[in-house]
Amino acid sequence: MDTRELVAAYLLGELDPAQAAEFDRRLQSDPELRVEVEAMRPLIADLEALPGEAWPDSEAVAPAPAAVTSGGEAAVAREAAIKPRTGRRLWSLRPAFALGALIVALLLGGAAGALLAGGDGSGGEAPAPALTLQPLSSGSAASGEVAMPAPDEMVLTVTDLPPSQQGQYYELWLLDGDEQTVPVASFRVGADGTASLRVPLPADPAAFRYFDVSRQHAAEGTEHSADSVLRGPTAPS
Amino acid sequence: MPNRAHDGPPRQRRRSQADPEEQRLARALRAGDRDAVASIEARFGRVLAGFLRDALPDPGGAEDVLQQVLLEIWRRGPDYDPERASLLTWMMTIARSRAIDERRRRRPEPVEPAVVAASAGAGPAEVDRLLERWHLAGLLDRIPAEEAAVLRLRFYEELAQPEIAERIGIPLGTVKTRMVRGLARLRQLIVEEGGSDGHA
Repeated sequence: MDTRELVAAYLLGELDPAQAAEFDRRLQSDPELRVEVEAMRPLIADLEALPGEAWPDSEAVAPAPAAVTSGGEAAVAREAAIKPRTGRRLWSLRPAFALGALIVALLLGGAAGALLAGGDGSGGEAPAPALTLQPLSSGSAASGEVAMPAPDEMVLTVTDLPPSQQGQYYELWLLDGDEQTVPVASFRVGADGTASLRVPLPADPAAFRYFDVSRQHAAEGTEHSADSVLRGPTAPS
Repeated sequence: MPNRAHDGPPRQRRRSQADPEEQRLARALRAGDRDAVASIEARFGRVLAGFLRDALPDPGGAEDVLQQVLLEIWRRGPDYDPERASLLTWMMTIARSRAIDERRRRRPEPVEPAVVAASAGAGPAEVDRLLERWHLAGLLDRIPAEEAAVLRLRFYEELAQPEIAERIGIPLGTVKTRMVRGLARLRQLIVEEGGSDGHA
């Protein structure tokens, strides 16, 4: 991949976590790369804004023969069932932002430890093992852990994240590595660098590849800021 | 969308990526070939008409201006210099000028309130923003059709990549490759057209 393809892949969320982390490291030290990223961002925004008549007609969009596509139907059907269908944009799947804002109120502080250790206390099946979120910046000591005490809810615990500044918050996302970002919850981090929250899941994590935590600025809208600070798989490796 | 409108027409710069059809049309224009206008309309009519429809409040007026633009393209064709700008950029510059002229010239007319509302606030900066948008639409004709098709499905129809793969009947990896290459190619074209920070 040349640089422009790499930048396109980065902005489209096509890089795997290791590649994305390496790219983020390069961004820190390579001003030209930052320029290229910032130059390509508006192109994507403009493509999203193009009206239908601005797109050339193409025979390439003809439906595929059924025999060609049958293998992927189950996955597509599953994906269609869990994904929001309106307002879908690159880095901007925000149908549940209101839910995320509501969930901020559910921040649990120190209660998360008990949740992680004992699930919801119902005494049923043992909860799935906790998942680890890794920092995407090599200089960061931050870490995160995700536990799912019930099939439709999760507990996120983060440590050593920079405290939220004025107008800044963190957002937890489900990310599938292809293009989909689904917001799960918004939260702030206090002076001790920690936060814990228990939230309902807006979609089945099994349909996504990563949990992702991004640093957001309220003044810059609710789309994914592309400033990810933690990321980890949605299932044990 | 970031506001990258500028005060003047697209910057002109020598383009480096050959487009055989544009080159053929440019040669025909320079030679004063009468059939060139029909070919220009067939190739660029979608973009020119789309821009004028958006930039001018009256659809009928936009159609009139399109005919003026095509006539001017043919009349000025012998002076067109492909070393200074691509044919697309050159024609969009003409369309921009005629759109602005039309907006300045237009007398108050009894039009539908919706038409008035649609045209409110569309000053020169807005015209340039529309010019950028439709210039990008024109560049989509220069990338391989299969890449443009994937981008259309992604950005306009808002399909997920697996859905695109199913619709077209190609592997998911090919969808990703076409999307990434299409974007990279568009970005390269924008740079070649003279837009270092965005569109030409």
